[in-house]
Amino acid sequence: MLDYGIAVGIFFVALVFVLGTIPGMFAPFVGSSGDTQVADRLASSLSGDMLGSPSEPFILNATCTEEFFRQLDTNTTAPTSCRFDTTADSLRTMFALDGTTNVRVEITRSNGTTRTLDETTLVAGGSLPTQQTVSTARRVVSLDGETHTLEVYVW
Amino acid sequence: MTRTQSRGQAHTLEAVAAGMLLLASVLFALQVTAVTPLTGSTSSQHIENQQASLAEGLLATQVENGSIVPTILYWNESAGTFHGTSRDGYRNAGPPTAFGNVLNETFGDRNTAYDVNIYYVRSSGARERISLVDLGNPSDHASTASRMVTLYDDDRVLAANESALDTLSNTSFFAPDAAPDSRVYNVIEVEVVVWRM
Repeated sequence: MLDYGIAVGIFFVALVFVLGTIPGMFAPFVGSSGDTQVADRLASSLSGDMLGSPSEPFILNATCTEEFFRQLDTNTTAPTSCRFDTTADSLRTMFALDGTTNVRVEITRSNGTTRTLDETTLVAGGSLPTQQTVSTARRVVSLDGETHTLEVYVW
Repeated sequence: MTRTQSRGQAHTLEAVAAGMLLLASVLFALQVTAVTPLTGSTSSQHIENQQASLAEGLLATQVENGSIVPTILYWNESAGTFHGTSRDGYRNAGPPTAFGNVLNETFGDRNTAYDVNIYYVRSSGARERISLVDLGNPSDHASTASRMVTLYDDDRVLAANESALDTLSNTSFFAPDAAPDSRVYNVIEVEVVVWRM
């Protein structure tokens, strides 16, 4: 009777281990991988197209970059020569995101401080949540002849 | 009594066999799938894309700033190496130039390893390589980005304090004059290889 109990115990330990392992095996394929895609796409289109020009990716146009953040901040209208939606007043409408996705875009200097251009702080979107997974995408960009980092957070 | 006991032994054996079968099937599943939770962190496509874009952006901005050419010209003529290095290029961090600082800030300070290779052509058309930064052998999941810059006959080699010395045509530079009859000296391909340590 004792060996039977031990064997059933072994069986249940194995069963619990297997049930615990299987979700982990699928972890890379499920979950919040959508957010990383969104962050990556936003960073690519911002650095390669919207704030600069597709012919010179990663070289941002200082005027349009400043207008982009000012438009999102104070609802002014950017010149139509800029390559982004000059009527959008939030990041969600700018990128046609659904209502549950939050975005924050920031341009920082190499020492980590947020860049300010003509009294406009180059940051848009709410502050980062403290208890949620946030996906980040980063790009090195040139603004005003200096090297900056463009950071996109999605959660 | 004897009957129940022998049945108990059969059940015992069955339980152990079933447990082994379960474990074996999990082991099999782990072996046949290429991507497991463990590989997820190092070979993630997102990280590779991210590093490739970072490297591309870095080269684009540095070409725009004009900081790549001075780094290529940061050449110690008498030693036949870049200033302050051995033959294999800089081995601990980027070169002590503006381009090197950006490399360190973007990759080195964030625990990402990188190599910088420089390709040049001989007048015969052969393509050769010299290492500018060598932080080791790239892993299987490395990303690369490259960019061309042109050197002209009247570009000057730089001293260790970045003051200009002789023109390229009058020095023993690592790359030869690939087009002796024209103003162009050589076309250099700068390649950045990035991988997660």
